Order: sequence, then structure tokens, then C-alpha cells
Amino acid sequence: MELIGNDIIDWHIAKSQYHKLRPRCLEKLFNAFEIDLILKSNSPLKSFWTLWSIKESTYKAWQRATDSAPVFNPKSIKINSFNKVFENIASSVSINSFDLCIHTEITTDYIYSYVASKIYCNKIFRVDEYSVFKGLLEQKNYAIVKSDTGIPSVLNKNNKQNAPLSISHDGQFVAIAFNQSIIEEKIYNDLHVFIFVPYQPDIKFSNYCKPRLSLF
Amino acid sequence: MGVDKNDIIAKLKSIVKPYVNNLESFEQLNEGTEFIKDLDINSANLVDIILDVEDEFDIRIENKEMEKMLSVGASLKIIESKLAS
Repeated sequence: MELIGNDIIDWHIAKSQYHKLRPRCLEKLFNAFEIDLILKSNSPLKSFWTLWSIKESTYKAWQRATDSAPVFNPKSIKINSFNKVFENIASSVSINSFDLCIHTEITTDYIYSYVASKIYCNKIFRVDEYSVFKGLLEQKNYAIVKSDTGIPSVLNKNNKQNAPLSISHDGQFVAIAFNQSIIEEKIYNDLHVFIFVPYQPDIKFSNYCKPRLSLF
Repeated sequence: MGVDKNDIIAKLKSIVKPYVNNLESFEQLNEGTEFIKDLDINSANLVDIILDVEDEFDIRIENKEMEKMLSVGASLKIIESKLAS
């Protein structure tokens, strides 16, 4: 089963939130290995948000896969390994019986984590670009809908088919992860330049194809 | 000494306020209100709310209890049981 989940952090907001590094806060969110990674890094705050986004994208994938009601138990998500190559990170994470590989990209604007996948693509919008994108979806008779447990998907109103979609919004950014093979070819062609970016094989993580992340 | 339920809810309301993104739902806040689904609170702020609750009521919330603290009603129950013990 392919899993989908993503999380974006707007670094321009996150970079001033030093209260997150209080020991009481760290102990509620992270396990010993994770706290060690944060406190021993060159930028503890950046590491805090990186680890948080890894956990959040893992949680989203798990919640969707198990169709679970929302829970808040960040310590049940365990980051087992963490490999940084330049500003890219590959981490292996477990939540209950799931093991996932999460990729993270760090730029001067954002920290973005997503479940490594061969079939899901990622796209990062600025908020105003995202509203244009949503308008285009609506024009094509698609809608972004949420289940009772809060899990989003793209609904094709013509044939009532649902495609999984993971959305994350923070500050000036909205990131989506989506399966391009599920969305109809009609919308693919129409919006090709707009929403779809080609997969780029990534030599650093050769087991996976990593989509290119870009703004327009 | 029993603590008034409405008093706890009023305190909770002022704790969550800075993190709320859906002000309309916030005006209607009741025991059924969910922090993320209804108030559109960013999940990264749940821990801030929990730490504020601990400070405001002078209680310590365990991981197992924190797991359920996603609504006003669930938080109320946990706070009440902590204050009673």
C-alpha cells in the first residue's frame, strides 16, 4: 500500500518560536533520541520544526491508512534514523505497526516533509497561487472535500470518484501531495503546466523517485 | 471543593483563543467543539494549549490523557478529574 502524507512549515514564522524549545514542550512531543538530535544540532529550532514536520506527515499517512479518529500522541511516532545530505533529509519513522520513509527539504523559506513515494507528487504554492489552483479545480468540476475524520481528497463531481490528496497550510505556503495517475487525463492536460511537475530520479535516495519541488 | 464547569470552559476559551483560525466557530464554542476540525487550530499549537492548561489549572497531563485532548469536552473531563483527585 502506498501512503500519502505531507507537512509544511513556514520558516519565516517558525524561526522566532523559541518557546518551543522549553524542556516541558520537548518532552511532550519527542522521544529521547529525537530530543538529543534537536539539542545537539547547529540550529535547534530548525531541527525542532524539521522533526515536527516529519512526525506530522507520518501521522497524516497513518490516520488515512487506518481511517482512525484524530489523536494527539506525538511520542507514539518514533523517528528511528535521520540522514542529512546537504538540505535534504531521509528519515525512517514508525507509528504503531507502520514503518515509513519520510523525505524533508529545507530551504530559506520553508521546511517540507512528505512520505517518500513512487506514485505521489508534491507541489508547493503560495497562498494566493493556491486559491487560483482551487478555482481551476472548481472550473473543471473537481472539489477538495474532507471525510468525517478530517481526511482530504479530490472529488470528481462528474463521476463521483475520489482521489487521495494531502494538504498542509502554514503561513504563506500551501503544499499538496497527490497521485497524478488517479486524476483524470482531461484535467492533467489542461493543468499540466500549472500543477504537475515531472518526477526526477534522485540519486541521493535511489530507492525512490522524488518529485521536484518548485514554485511557479 | 467542586469547580464550576462553566468556569473551566471560560478559562479554556481564553487559553485557546490566540491559536484559533475560525473565529465564527470560536464564538459558538461549546463542549462539542473540536480544536482542529472546528476551530482550525494548527496541530503544532496543540502542545501550547496543553502546556497552558497545565499552568492555568496547576495540573500535570500524562501522555495517555493528552492523546484525547482534541476537543473542549475531552479537555474538560481531564481537567475535572485532575482537580478532583
